Amino acid sequence: MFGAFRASTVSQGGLLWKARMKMDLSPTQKANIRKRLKAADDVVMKIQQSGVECNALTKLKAEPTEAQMPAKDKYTVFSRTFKGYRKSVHKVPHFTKVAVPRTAPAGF
Amino acid sequence: MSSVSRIIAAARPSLTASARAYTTTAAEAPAATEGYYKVTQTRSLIGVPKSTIKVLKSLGLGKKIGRPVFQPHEPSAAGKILKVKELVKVENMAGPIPPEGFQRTRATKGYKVVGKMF
Repeated sequence: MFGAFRASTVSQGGLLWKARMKMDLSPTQKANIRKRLKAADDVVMKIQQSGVECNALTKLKAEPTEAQMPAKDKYTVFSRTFKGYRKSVHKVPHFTKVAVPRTAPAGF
Repeated sequence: MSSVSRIIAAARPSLTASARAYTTTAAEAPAATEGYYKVTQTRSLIGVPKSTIKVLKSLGLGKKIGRPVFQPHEPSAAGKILKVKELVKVENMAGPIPPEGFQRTRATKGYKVVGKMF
């Protein structure tokens, strides 16, 4: 009806573009998150294979790869303001292009 | 809270530098070869922090997605590429950097320009 959004009592009630707040990710979104993590891992691997050493590489070698990350770390990030101290990664601004933390503080 | 976090931290597998699945040991790691990186931008700069955009442009990228750039096997270039790793893809190439840069392969024209009037 109004573009891509399905008609609901809220959307037809006058506030046109009020979409529901989605906290869960679709299987496609999750697949693309994994794809992007693997692509970033691939860049680090190529730099490693070239034999060059630098501080950035030393720091990145300590981070887990996509295969080593639990699902919780792939699709959520630590947040001190959210209930449960975790929020969905799609709430991070420009999360598809910005380095999102791969580990949370211990215990969270 | 501290005892709970200690238990959870103990249960979480500890990740050491050698935990990365594709890490080569110090003995196996190749010495810095006389080669170069072929870096290709894969994502747009829209919405990217300004510091990252500056690094990307210093690499020679930022003009067209899919247009590759050659960078030497040096720590300075490696650090720049790792800063923008979410936006690029890299290949390792052997030999010296071609002086003419990246030459796009084009189909041959059916004619040759002999001269120009203007």
